Amino acid sequence: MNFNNLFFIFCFLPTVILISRFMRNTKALNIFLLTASLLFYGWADVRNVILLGLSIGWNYLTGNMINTKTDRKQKQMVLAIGVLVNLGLLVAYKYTGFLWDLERIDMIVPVGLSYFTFSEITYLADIYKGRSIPCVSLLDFALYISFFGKISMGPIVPYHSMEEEINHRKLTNEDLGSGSFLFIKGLAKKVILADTMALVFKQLASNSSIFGTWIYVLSYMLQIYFDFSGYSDMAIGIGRIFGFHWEPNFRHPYLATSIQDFWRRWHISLSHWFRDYLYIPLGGNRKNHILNLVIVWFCTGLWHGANITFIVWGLYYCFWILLEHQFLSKYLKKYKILARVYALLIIFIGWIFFFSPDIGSAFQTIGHLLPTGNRAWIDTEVMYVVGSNAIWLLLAILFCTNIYQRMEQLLLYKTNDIGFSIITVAMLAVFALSVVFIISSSYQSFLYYAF
Amino acid sequence: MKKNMLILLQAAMVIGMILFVHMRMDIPEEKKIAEEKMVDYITSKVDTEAMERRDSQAMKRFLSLDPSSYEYCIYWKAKDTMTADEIVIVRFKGPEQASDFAKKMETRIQDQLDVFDKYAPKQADLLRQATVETYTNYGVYIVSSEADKLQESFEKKIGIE
Repeated sequence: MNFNNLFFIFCFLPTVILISRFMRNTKALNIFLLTASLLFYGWADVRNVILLGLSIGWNYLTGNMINTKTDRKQKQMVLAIGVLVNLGLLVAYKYTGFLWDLERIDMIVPVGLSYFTFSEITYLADIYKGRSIPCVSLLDFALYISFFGKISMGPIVPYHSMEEEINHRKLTNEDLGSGSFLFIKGLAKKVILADTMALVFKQLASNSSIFGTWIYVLSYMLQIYFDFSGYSDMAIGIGRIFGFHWEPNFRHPYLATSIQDFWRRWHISLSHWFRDYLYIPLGGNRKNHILNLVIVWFCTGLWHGANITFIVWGLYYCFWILLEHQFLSKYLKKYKILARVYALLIIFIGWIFFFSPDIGSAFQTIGHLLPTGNRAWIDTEVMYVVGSNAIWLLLAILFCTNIYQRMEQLLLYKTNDIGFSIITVAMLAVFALSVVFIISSSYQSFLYYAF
Repeated sequence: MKKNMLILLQAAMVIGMILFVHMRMDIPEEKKIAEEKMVDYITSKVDTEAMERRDSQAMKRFLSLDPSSYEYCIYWKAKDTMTADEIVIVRFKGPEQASDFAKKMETRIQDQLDVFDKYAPKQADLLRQATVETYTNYGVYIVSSEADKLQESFEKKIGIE
């Protein structure tokens, strides 16, 4: 079950929302949401609920054990074992074939494994650091890990951010309204913009003209942004409907003025995770700064998948970040427009490593961006694809900017209640259009589902 | 919660996870068929008038394979040097031999193409449609007008549908 699935939108989610309104207190609400979450998780394969349960049990018990230790070294040991078991599970499912070249091992990775193991690590680390106390109720902890709003593809919400609301929250109409708006916005991003860009990407996969290659990479750049930010909006919207308030996971990353700025805007929950739970414990910029950055970016790349291209992608960003630290930053602050162009170009090239099956293909695609060899600048296939999708390409580029937020703020500021009604009607129209797109187009799974 | 109970429960969780992952790890294991039976199988499939079984010297010379490094290696080649038909079946000692076998067969195909491309286009086409497939225990290389059928039949023989 995915968020862009008609059964989820018209049956599962409304039913859960409706029933949750009848829960008398937070405890009852949590039990109900946990039941719904396990049903959601087990929908594709009920066996994965067993693994999820075991993982939750392990972390719940380990959290308690860390708390009982008074000696710092013993605490560290328990934390280390706790983290290693979580990472061991991740390695077993995601990286066994990659590490040992065992092509014939067929391991279907449980949905959300990368996300919930990272959430569990934040739980253990927060208890160790004293940022949180262990969850008293196993059911509440299970809800933190398995809540259907975030288990599939994040955001990776640290335990200390959710701790208070797990224990005490109220379901309000404001949250229902704003959460629903966010969900609709995310749905539109995914099924209208991301899925259309996905088709452009597929159509131009074998095109080797120069302009065609630029559009090919651009379409992927747009697809992955709208796909993942769309999902994140839906997840945060669902969280809000049920009383959880999470930080945005994306802040217009393609408006970044440097690569460091880009990573403060893209998949923010993951960047913060690596910063707080790997980079800072390693010493941050106080000790072995360069080595720490290389380790963090190596792991960032590896987290995305068991392929050398993801590692290269991570280290590629490490290189640019180091260059900015050492040398480029002052120029980027001085020349804002050039900074934006620079950032976009670096990100653009970065995505090539991300989507290519191997390094050779990545460099071949990069080569095709340039007027090398005996290739046409443009051909009829590109003209056809761009012509057929021109409006969607333009809209996608436009909505990468903050134009929607500015229009919304302007409308509400200038017209108050009427503006709110206009936005509501517009949202309903967008929702209807999204449903039409879901029904009429072929199924495109979420890209970040694979991680 | 008492300390020992906590440790026991934790151990139970870890053992549970290990068992779960192990059960979900699906390594398809083919049937291990003895060399004589495999030879009989190939004999029933090939035209023994047109093809002949070749020895270890031929394997080293034409395929760059050292038969002693495998459980067994069976090589059938067309008698007519103007024909590209070949069948190779090896049983690995370990799955790590698979990629090396595949590379050597790809090299063999390329070497044969360099020869047949110039004067025997039909044979060159056969080579382009050759199958090279590796499994946990076996490697197969087939150049034949019935390569797909032979491979399918082989997969049934070793228990892969």
